[in-house]
Amino acid sequence: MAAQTDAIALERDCFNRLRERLYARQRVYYGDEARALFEKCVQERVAALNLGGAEEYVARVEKEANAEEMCNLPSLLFASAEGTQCRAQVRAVRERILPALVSTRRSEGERRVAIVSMSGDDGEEAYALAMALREALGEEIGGWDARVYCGRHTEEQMEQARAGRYRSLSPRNTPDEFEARHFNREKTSFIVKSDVRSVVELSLFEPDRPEEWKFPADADVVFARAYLSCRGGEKRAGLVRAIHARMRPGGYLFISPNESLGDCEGLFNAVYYPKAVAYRRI
Amino acid sequence: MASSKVTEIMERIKKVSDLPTLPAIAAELLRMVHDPRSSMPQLASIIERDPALSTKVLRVVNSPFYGLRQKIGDLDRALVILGMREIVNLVSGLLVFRTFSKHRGPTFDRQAFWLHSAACGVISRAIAGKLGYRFAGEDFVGGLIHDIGKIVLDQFVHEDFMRALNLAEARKMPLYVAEEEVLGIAHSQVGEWLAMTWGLPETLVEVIAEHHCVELATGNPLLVATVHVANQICKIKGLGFSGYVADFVLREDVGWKILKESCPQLEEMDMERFMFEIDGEIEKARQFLALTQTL
Repeated sequence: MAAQTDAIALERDCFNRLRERLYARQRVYYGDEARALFEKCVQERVAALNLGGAEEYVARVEKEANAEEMCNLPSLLFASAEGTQCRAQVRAVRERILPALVSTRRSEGERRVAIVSMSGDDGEEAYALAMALREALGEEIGGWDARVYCGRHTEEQMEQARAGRYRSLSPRNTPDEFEARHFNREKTSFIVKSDVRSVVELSLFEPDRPEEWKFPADADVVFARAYLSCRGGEKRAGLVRAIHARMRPGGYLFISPNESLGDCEGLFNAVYYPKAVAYRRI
Repeated sequence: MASSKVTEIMERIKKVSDLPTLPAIAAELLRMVHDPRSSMPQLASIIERDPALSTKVLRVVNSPFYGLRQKIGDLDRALVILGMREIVNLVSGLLVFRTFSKHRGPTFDRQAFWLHSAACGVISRAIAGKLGYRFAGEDFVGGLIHDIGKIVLDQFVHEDFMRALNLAEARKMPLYVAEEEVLGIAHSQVGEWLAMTWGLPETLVEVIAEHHCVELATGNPLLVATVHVANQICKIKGLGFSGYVADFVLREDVGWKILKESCPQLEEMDMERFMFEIDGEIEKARQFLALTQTL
């Protein structure tokens, strides 16, 4: 059993080396303000692996053979950081992308919008996008094939998403005025209304097997936050290509706010919105 | 309508009795920096005539803004380490900042304005660093003062300026387009006039004049394009000051194309990473403002 370690002070050099390693492999960037968070996470990993200290841990991480360890650190960091917040991204969809998309589809006589939510959260992302879709289409929604395809990785996540019940600090991705329109209140809980749920199609999906994904092949918007960051190298590149293949030209991909897509030459162009970036499918 | 309205607006501005004037020290320094006979001790002694100013210069020089390893104790040393043009440009920026910070408009959020301006300055400098260019401080100062025309419009043509701001928001258009519609003139042209009146270097005048229409820059298009791109980045980082923030596709931006033409290695640059690193640069802008707002 690993002994409880003393608090670890992460030297600047170790912090930079870890940060670079994470970025090179996982395409996740952490600014200087994350140093305290790194210290906490490194302390946990040093204790779990029974190592001598931070330098030993960093040296271990830097070795190519320890690809598995590269998943542990981002998971700890992500869970602690504000990575689950995506207000600015959902706002970009709600205020800019969907209105333009709906207008174009209407003029072209096509009544279809497909949004995919791949993030492994409790369904909040999918419901926030479903609300955005309802806001964009209004009363017309009944005449549209407009869906949010929500893939969850585990049965537990499916159950959470089906429940559509959030605590008072949630839902974090919707503006205040949405509360009355799209939620029912039950004591301190917010419960997503049935007309929003009806827009969301839930399914289990195997994140690493694109051939088994149940999403349509013409997605207009894809949210893949906290999904690519634990998958490095060729696996990651393959998943990006798989997502690309399931999107319409001109569709928008969103990943975690501190994640970069990397070498996507010929696949995507970055489009910047206020405090958010989307990757437009070429 | 257009030209008579412009004339009317400019006549109103020119007649203002309390239009800010740049301290004489700025003109003197700018004259000296272009005079090959000038020496660093001479420049230092001019700056030192204003103790508050020279203290601020040293505080900024010793701050993370410059990130120097050694502490600089006096202006002579600062001039040696950073160069005359860099220091004179820094002093010019501080003087512009000081000149305008005394004026208060009825609704103009000066804090937000200066944060946007300072952020534009530091991001310009960061872009220049990636380009491998040395603008001797004109990148930072250009970014810092590019929007001074807005202060003039807010202060002296306030109601029309507010109408332009409201129009920009309502019609989701850039502020300078709304200004041209309401006033017949944009803040960039008003700023250009003021900068010329103050005798600022032509390179800075051009930055102020063409930071929105970068394709019109002829004197130093790289500097103008640098500040233009920095301005766009500020806005999408949530540090825009006014007007609608349009979607920004870097590769399609005319300023970015100008930079890439001159610096093909930009194509290989990890722009995503650079956009993350900019958050750290923005912190330097806050520190700069904190340093310059005391004393």
